[in-house]
Amino acid sequence: MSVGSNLSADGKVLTITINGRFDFSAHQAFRDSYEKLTPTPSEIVVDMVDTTYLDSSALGMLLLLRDHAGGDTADITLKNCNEDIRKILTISNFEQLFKI
Amino acid sequence: MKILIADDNNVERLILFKVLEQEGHEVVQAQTGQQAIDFFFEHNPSLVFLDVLMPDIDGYEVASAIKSGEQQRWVPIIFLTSLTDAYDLAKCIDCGGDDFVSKPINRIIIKAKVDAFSRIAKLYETIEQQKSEIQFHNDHLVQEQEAAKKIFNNIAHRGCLAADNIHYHLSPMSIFNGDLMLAAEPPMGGMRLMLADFTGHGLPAAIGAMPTSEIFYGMTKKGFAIPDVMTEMNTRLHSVLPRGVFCCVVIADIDTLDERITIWNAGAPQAYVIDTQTNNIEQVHSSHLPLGVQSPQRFKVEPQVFRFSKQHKLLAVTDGIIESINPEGEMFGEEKMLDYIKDNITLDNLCDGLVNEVVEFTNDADQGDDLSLLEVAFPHHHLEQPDLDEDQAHAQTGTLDSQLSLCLRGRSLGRFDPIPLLLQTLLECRELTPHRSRIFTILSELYNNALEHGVLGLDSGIKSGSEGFAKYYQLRTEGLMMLNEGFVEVNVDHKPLTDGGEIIFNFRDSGKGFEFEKIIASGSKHLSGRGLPLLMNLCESIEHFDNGTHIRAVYRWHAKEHEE
Repeated sequence: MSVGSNLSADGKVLTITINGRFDFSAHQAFRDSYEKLTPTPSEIVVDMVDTTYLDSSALGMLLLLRDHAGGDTADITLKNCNEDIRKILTISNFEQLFKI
Repeated sequence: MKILIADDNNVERLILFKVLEQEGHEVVQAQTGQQAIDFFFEHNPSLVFLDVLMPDIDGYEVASAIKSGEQQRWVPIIFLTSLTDAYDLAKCIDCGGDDFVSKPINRIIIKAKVDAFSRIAKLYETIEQQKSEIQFHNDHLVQEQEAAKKIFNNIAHRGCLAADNIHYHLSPMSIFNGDLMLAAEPPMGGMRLMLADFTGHGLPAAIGAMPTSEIFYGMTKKGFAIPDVMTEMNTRLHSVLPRGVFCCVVIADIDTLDERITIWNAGAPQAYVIDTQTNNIEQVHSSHLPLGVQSPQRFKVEPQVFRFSKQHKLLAVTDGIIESINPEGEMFGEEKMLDYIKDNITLDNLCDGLVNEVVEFTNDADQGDDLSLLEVAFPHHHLEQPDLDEDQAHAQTGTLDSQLSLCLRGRSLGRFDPIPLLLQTLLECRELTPHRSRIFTILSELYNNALEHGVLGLDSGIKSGSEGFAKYYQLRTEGLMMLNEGFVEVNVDHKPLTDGGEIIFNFRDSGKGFEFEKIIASGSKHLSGRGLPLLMNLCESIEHFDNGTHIRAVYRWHAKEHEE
């Protein structure tokens, strides 16, 4: 598991990538990827192209990210989700909170 | 440092003795193997020098005897040997020795060895100390958890989970896995069940269980419907839980009178409504965000309704079962789960079977600790259950002589459930406590009749057939959402009689009315026609006016009627 992040040239779009299993072991790295940025990017993309699986603590981390980025006004996209991940997101109805 | 030397050669032993003594060590000398063993246990040295060749018991055996003796400490054994054969030297280590030095003895090497081993011994001691500290803390934690478990079990008690229509599997320490299972019998009879799974483990997961179960039992007892209970839970959890911790939940209400089940799934794996006669399996998927995520303003509850009778059962699980992993790294998954249900549909106890299946799959007996399953068949109708927990010693007349009017119009009709309010007000008269179930039934039957057949104009004929059943409740939900006009007017008049009291219920609605006589005539043959015959059975009299838009029911009760 590793977490990478990339900020667009204008500082507005933050892309976070997660390799492997997205679970509690990613907790600190995931937080570090967005928490220290000021101002908070207006748009955040979580790219899961290399993410194999996510568990409920990962869902919690996504909620923390959403809260950090402004709660109900946050603009967060989860992209390239594989079928398993999509299923977990659907069970929790996270499409109401994130663009998938 | 206390050191034991065992050597039958007096000269060599004396040299070693002098070397060690000059370094400031306390030295014990043994001349034979047997003496070495005896002195070891007598003097408790921290290091042993052992000659390989001794006349009675050789060094190898002494080493084995020392190492196999019961002891908490690690004591290094260094062999003294003039042997040079690799096999013999290796044997020194095999039989429990830690090192060897060649004879004749070299002062510098001996000193270096003693220093090295005293370093290792110190390290070993530190580890032992830390180990016992960890053990202490762990024991302490387990003890605390046991105490916490007792407290939690009192608050989040099992309710009526012991009922014979329920099979469940729940680890005794499940509260610390974040799993919670609750069951209660609402005042109207039937059964309400909940399976909840908090994210995370340990104390944070357990703390959320406290408000959840209090709300569940408290509001269920007062007769609140699922949407009200869930809204309250979400509001509380949203304010209590830190962001990132939430609660996945399946809650189900079984209405034994109407033979239906209302299920609401928020973030949990799909629940199954199984028809054991037709082998039909309905999957109830999650349709909402878990509890505690959505802010109270945006929270909505839209439960699903299914037919549920003696041939049906409900199976709900937490994600532990689906995410169980076998040694090859495969997950148990939903498909295997569904296959198992299909293959064993007539099995009386699916729950235990499924747990065994998962344990077999993962090849790990401890796996069962992470699984929570709930299987519920059709409950017996407990309309006449006595309320045991009420203190009836102090009779208070309270609202015995009172009149209460309430009119709900338009949008309020769809959004407010007046039954708990009416019931609570009436029950302020303590003598009525034993009548709680009956009064609840009368109120809710009359109100639902006015709302569904009156204001919404729904024809209960739609309900025949299992598909029609779901359609009826869909129409009801849609109708309520769009409701902007219409009214239901309730008037409850409670008067004392010489040996008890009389409650007169008047329900008026804005509907077109309906053919009262026809419904009564159809009797219980008709699935939906059970409400009115039941009311006639419970009430002293039932009258209808204005083409069925006004119903008047009279309930009479007698004091000291504790046993129903």
